[in-house]
Amino acid sequence: MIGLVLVSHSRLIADGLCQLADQMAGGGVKIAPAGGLTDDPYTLGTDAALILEAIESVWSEDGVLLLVDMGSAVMSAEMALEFLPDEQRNRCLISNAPLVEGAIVAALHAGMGNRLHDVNAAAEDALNARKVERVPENVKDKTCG
Amino acid sequence: MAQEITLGQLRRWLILYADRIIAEEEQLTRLDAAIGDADHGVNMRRGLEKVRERLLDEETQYADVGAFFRSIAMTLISAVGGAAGPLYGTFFLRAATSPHNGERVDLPQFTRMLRFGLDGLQQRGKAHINDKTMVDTIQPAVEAMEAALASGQSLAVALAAAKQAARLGMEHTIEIRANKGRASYLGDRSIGHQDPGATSAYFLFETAVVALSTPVPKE
Amino acid sequence: MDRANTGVSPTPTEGNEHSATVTVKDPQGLHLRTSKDVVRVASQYQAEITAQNLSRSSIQVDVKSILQLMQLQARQGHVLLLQAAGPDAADALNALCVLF
Repeated sequence: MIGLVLVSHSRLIADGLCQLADQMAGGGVKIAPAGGLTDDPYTLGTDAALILEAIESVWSEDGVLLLVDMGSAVMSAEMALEFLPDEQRNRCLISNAPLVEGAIVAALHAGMGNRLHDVNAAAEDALNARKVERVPENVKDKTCG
Repeated sequence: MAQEITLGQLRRWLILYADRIIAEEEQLTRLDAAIGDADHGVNMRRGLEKVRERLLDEETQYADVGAFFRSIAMTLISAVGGAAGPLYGTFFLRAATSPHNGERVDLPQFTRMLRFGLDGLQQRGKAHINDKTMVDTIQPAVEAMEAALASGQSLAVALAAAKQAARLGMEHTIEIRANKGRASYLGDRSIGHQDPGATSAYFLFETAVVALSTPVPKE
Repeated sequence: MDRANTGVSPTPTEGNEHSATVTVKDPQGLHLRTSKDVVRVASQYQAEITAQNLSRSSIQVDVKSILQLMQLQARQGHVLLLQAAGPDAADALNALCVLF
């Protein structure tokens, strides 16, 4: 079963999302948060060393999917991967999925035993998921009136 | 004058650099507020305070120059927080992988270290010259050192040339448009503002002149 | 378990295609946790299974995708049309009906 690492600038987001993702995974999937900085947990930022620790804590031969928020999270995640030995790095993947939706989908699919690239593909589908159907302005007016 | 840089000098360099960054926090914040998210000053100050703390701790010992740079890198990676963390972290980490003579480096080795650091930085940030980033300061500085080395100049001259090139590179970022990071969202509106990363990078070369071309009294 | 929905037997439409309607009974609607179970169960079948929220005239979504299920915006009392096609379509619908 693959492992998941949730990278956010915010420790609170990463930890909270971890809780949500755990519920989706139904146990059995190792999910680690990597939010904020090692020494200043509630300072916003990302920390390659913390991400590396998270990867190691969920590592298995099946691989690790990293979900990241944005900006330096990507760079720090890339840097963390560079610290890994080749054979581990080759089994890690940074997802393009949006963090929250991606973590939910990835946790669910990882829990179903899907493989790394399949889990990532499902998570990246979140890029296309709409949340609300926009009602055209004139129709909305009529409904409200 | 000595043509080698000692571990003690490198230590002094990074302490001076930390002092400079801490003193310039407001300027870096102001520059970043104009084209970024106004966190470069506070991020760099937080990171360099940690670096300074470790360097001033008499207990901290470094096996060699590589270990010294690696330690700087790891502190920055874990304490800076913004994009500057992995960028400066990569710079020092790659520099650490370049050959050196244990507790000292000569000019060719030091120049090569900076080149390694620059290459790593460019890979990490995927930035090129004229993208309005720290590369605009560091690349000309490294090239100036390489030119000085090729023409047989002394360490002091090479460092002075690097500082001069770094300053021109930093100032040139005022005239160009950002192609990387948050500032790139501004397009042409980024023109007219000096890049904060190029500015914090300049201080590296500015402080290097004093720290690396004069001996450390205690040694 | 939802008594009303367990009573719904999948209606064969054409060959391997079956359909069923279910009513969402949960006061919180079709929320994330229930949807997770739907995806888990649906994924055990080969059949292609879609759902449509008839109470909202929504688009058809793939029930093996949690994000698509969330797009149904199904509240308590909404009626969903499940359609399955494949060798195990009937079994899939039987298994799914109890979840809503």
